[in-house]
Amino acid sequence: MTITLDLPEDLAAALSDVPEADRNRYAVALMRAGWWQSEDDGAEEEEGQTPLSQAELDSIGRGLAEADAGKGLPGESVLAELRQIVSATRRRVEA
Amino acid sequence: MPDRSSGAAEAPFALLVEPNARQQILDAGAWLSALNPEAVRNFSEAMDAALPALCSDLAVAFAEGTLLPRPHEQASLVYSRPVYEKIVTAGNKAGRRRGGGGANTWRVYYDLADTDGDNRPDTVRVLAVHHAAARPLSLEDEA
Repeated sequence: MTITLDLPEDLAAALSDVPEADRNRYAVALMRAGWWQSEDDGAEEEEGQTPLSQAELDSIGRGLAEADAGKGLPGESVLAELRQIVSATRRRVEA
Repeated sequence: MPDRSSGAAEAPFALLVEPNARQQILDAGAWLSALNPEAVRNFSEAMDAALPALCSDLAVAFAEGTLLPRPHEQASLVYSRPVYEKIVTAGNKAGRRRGGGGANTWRVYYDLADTDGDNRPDTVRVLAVHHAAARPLSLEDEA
């Protein structure tokens, strides 16, 4: 696959001085930033299509194992715990 | 047999949060609390709105057989069972930009369970909650 990036001349010159691996990483970061920006431009993200890292897949796997073991907690109690963090934060800020 | 002809009368699905997801939610709350008091409030409000709404929407969707969620392809393939994704955005888009793109976007992964044995899902089980920025960024992760 070939992707052509149209860069300003000064940036292209600066990138030519860095190792190729770093240039590639920069290109990945640039495309990611562009994708995020496109989200902000109004495009809705499509649920169910997000590429997941191994760490994220592992996390989902832990959740599935817990679900199979019947370890689920009532959602309202977890949301209440989160609201307690908000309240504590507010008290801290107001103190 | 309950009358499922009207979505408006559907009882919402029950909501369970697995310990893995609970810890991620509370860790996110603590992180946001230290970062920005407004951010943690936005996160809490977004979760408070999105998760119950998901339970209501799914109950209606399954009762009417419409707008069923599409499983997350990668996670469902890896675990050979349907895993779903819900994108939750906290705060407004201006906040997302200030936060570096997607900073207020969270991804909730869940599955559906039939707890009463009627062969119809009735419970949302939240498996994991990830920050959008946790997506792969390096070349190694993309491979």
